[in-house]
Amino acid sequence: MSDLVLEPYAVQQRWQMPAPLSGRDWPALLAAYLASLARACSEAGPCVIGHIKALALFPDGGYLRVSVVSSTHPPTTDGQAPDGVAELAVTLNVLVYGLARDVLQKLSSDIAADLAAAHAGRVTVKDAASVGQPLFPNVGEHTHHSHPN
Amino acid sequence: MRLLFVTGFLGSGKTSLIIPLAKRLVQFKRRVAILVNEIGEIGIDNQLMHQLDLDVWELFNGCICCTLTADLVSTLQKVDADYAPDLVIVEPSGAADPKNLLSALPYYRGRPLASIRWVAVLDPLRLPMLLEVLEPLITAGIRQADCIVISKTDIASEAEVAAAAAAARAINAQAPLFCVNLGAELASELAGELLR
Repeated sequence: MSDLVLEPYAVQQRWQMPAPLSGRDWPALLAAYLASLARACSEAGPCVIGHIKALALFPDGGYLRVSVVSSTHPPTTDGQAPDGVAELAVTLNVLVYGLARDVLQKLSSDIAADLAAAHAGRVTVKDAASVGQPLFPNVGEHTHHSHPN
Repeated sequence: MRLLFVTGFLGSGKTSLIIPLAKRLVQFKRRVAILVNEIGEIGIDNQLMHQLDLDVWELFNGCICCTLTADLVSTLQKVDADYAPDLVIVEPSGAADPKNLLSALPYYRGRPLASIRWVAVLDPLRLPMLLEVLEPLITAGIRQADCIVISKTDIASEAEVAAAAAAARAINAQAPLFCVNLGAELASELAGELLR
């Protein structure tokens, strides 16, 4: 476990449902998403889940934050979504030691697509490079944090 | 100007501690600046803090314990000059090594720092595992701490909290230790300790 490397993966997703969801449905949906993603990471190979978190902001100043730190503990949610929202813009940040970025990208994308499809919805993504915020180019520099003496 | 570093591994509860602390101080008309250094390519904590009307400065494109130590100092000086806060709360990335941050502070040239405090936030659900696989990083934060916060007491078992407290005590026996549910209201005793 001492040589696990951290390759952060971030993406902006747009979750689109065929009909508006209640304020209770969105937290449950995103919690199910992050729980599935954490499980899939653990099954994909030796890894340490640092933090997988998702955030949606609303024009009225509200927010919905969902977060998970292991595959064996349920996600936590904070804030709330308003009622009657059919589309949600979600920032997803996946910080997992030991899994390559392309693996995290595929898991994040596939699980979101499957979950949305189960509700007759869909998820489109905008990768970090096209979002307009600076990238974190030197992820390799963080390998020193994962090399115990 | 006071300086408070809030350290802890990814997902330990740093942001959940900082938000209520900053809100409380703002209610008392204190000027609070928050410096956030996130590892992810798109910051989430900074977006949330902005949404909550807190005054946030982001440090992107690296880690403030290695590639961005100079940026930490220059940002501190800029915040001091432009905003003159009573307190600056620094949230290093969950992968940052505190001793590297310490080595950068002598280069700060702003107003004198009335105090520099370090709080380590520990996740009792994962601490034993993290001490096994990322031991130097985790112990460095605990050793540096003036105050230790064991978070997630609402979801961790009593045994997990007790084990985390014992592990922290074995590394740092001096720092006051608080076991808290960060989803609840911030206890006055803890807030007072952080702001000493």
